[in-house]
Amino acid sequence: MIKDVTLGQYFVGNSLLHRADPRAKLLFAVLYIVVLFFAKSAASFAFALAFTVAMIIISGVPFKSVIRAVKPLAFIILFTAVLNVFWTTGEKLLFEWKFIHIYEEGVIFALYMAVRIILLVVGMSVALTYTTTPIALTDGIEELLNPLKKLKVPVHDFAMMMTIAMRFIPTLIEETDKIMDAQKARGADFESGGLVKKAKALIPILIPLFVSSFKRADDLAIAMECRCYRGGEGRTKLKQLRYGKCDVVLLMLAAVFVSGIILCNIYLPYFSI
Amino acid sequence: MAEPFIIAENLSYTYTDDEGDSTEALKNVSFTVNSGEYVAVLGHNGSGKSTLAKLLNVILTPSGGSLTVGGHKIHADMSEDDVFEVRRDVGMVFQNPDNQLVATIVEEDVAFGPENLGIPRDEIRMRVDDALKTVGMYEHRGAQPHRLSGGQKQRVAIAGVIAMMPKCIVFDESTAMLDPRGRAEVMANIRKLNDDFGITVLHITHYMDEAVMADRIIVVNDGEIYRDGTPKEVFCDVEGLRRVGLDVPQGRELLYELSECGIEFDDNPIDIENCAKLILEKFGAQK
Amino acid sequence: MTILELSDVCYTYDKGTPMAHEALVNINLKIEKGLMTGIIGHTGCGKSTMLRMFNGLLKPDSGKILLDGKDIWENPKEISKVRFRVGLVMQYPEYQLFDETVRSDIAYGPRNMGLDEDEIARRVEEAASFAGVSRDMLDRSPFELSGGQKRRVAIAGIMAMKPEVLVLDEPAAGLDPKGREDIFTGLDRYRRESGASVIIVSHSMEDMARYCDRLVVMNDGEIYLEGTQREVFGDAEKLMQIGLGVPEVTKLISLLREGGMPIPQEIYTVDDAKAVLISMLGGGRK
Repeated sequence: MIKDVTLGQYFVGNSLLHRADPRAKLLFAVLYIVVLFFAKSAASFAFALAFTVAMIIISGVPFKSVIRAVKPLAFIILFTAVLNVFWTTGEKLLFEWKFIHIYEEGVIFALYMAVRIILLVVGMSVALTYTTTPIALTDGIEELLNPLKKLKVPVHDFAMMMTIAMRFIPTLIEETDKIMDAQKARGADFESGGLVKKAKALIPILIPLFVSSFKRADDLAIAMECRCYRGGEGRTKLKQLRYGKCDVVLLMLAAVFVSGIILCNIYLPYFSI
Repeated sequence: MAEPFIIAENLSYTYTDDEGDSTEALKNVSFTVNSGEYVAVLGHNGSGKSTLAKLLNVILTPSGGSLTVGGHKIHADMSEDDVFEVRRDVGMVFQNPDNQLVATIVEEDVAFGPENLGIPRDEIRMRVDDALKTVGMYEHRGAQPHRLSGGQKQRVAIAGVIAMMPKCIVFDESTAMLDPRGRAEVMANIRKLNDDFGITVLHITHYMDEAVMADRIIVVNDGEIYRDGTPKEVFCDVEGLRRVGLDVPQGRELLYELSECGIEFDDNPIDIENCAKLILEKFGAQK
Repeated sequence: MTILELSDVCYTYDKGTPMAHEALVNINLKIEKGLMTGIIGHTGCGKSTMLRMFNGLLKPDSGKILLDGKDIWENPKEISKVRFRVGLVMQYPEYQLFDETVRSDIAYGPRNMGLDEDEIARRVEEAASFAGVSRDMLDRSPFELSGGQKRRVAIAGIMAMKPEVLVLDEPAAGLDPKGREDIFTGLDRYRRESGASVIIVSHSMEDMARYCDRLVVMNDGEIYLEGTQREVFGDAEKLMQIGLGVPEVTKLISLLREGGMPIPQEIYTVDDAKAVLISMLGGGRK
């Protein structure tokens, strides 16, 4: 059944990364991404790779799943790499054929770019989606953006929308399942035929799904009003995020990562770009 | 002495649809519900009973007559703060268990109401735990709503209302989408809220077997009050209830059918034990 | 005569994962032609899974489903033809309506069967009449109808395929007494006039007693009791053990028997009870 697909592919666990506060993890992820773009030499990339592998080990997420996260991006990675190989010009010509010139710089640049994208995806997955429930993530985002409330940015409304979306996604998936079964029972065929026929076959699923979603939205809005909802103002909260020991450790790790990359860039500048 | 909590006088409500046609959903209805009473509103689909529920919570406002709930007069020009006050006093549990839970975790959903009321954190914690214990869902406090059964979801919805500590709870066909087990769970909770916490209960339903559990039944038909009385009084009129599209308990139905055939009984019980007693007496007397 | 047969059917959800859940365990069941069969059981007992077996929405892990003696999974490519012969009305079917008019929505099934337009039109009218969808409703949008009307349109949508076996998952759920009665009388008429078998899932013992010829009680993925009303309701104790009951009037009758009245046990409807008691108490008029 599709309803058991876990949202955001959260892996249950109790690692350092699981226990850390979502705000700390978000900060960590931002730092990680930024610093990754500063990596310049082979040594920095090697360090980043080692650091990321260590993160995977700490998180306890199986390597197989991590690879699965990268797979859908294989094409993009390959595409950017190829583009870089052919388009980057430099001093050391490696290969020449008619109008194709490949320089050493191009190859290095392409390789770095590929590693960077892979690390980016893996790092984000391990630090955030694999180890943080979507709810915690929303809470974290809301808290971090809280200062923006002063600038009249509707942070609360945004967070409320995210929560409701996450609450209803499993319900809607289940409902889609049911409607599909109901239409199959009336002889609907979703598999055969060309693109147009397949798209047409979806109408009997999409319309009921829309109709019931509107009804749900209506019901929910009334239910929320009846429970005295008036937006974010004057609201208290049951749960408050608290920083703990894990967060200190996580920020230390971030510091190690930042300084590691910088040091590698400066003192081991082999194959720098 | 019980005080009236809901007072409706010549209350009416008229719907106008997209084409401008208007339908009178409630016509000059008058009744009173006292604090601490448990009243069932019984009627077939489209009888106007759900409109009544929506008026009590200012989801709709009266087109005519007057309605007072917990001392607040309900009308179209109420200020937002007044509406807030009414909703703080009158909680509502709806029909579809899927469409009234807001949060992704049970306890956070129960906390939603108290959070809106601006209650301090420590007290919310207490209220949430108490409410979940009352409905027997405490051990599921960390669960995700979509993993629960229909009856469990409704119990969470009830906990969400209890945590706001209202004086009155309106159940708007809250059992209609549940299986017998879920219905029994919800009914047991309704009884408990009325018995143990003295909460005024208005239970809107079309199931006669649920209505008999109330202290009083108001039968609504075609936008009007058709009967108002104790379950025994209301179900006395088998012919009339059938005419307005409602069932009667099978024991009562049997006695009625027999009396139609000339076998008269002195009483009109609705539970099978008393029905059996009467029939056995008759049988004994005949011998 | 048997129209549909389940033989040693087993089914497990999420097989091979830690979430694995045995929904059906060795089900053997024969559905008789032309009868109304009722299926009773608590939520999660495997009813819904079994209904999805009847028309091939789910394929059993092991065992066979025979329609008119032929294994429906003999040729998996032809499974949609089975779905026209075994019509399944799901729970709350009003949520499947999608077309602009009631007429074209009811026609969706027959159209998928590849029938010609005349035949489709004929079937729509016929099914509408069986399901109690009035003529003036046919050209309206299904979305303007009331809940009960939508339900009947959805049932008509399946009836229009003229299935030999019509399966309905709680067709009267949430409806008021009048709505329930309309649905059940419509189903009874369909069964009598088309000679089809009807299978219904319901939680109401009273409805079951009134309309069904045979009853199947399921519990924990197994068939717990099966047979005529007398065979199933006769064993009140066994029903009680799994938290199910007998109709109210049957309970009343057992109280009367305990009180010494010589009444036969097998009374499941008010009408039957009335007949017996009149003869014993000697009623006057009529």
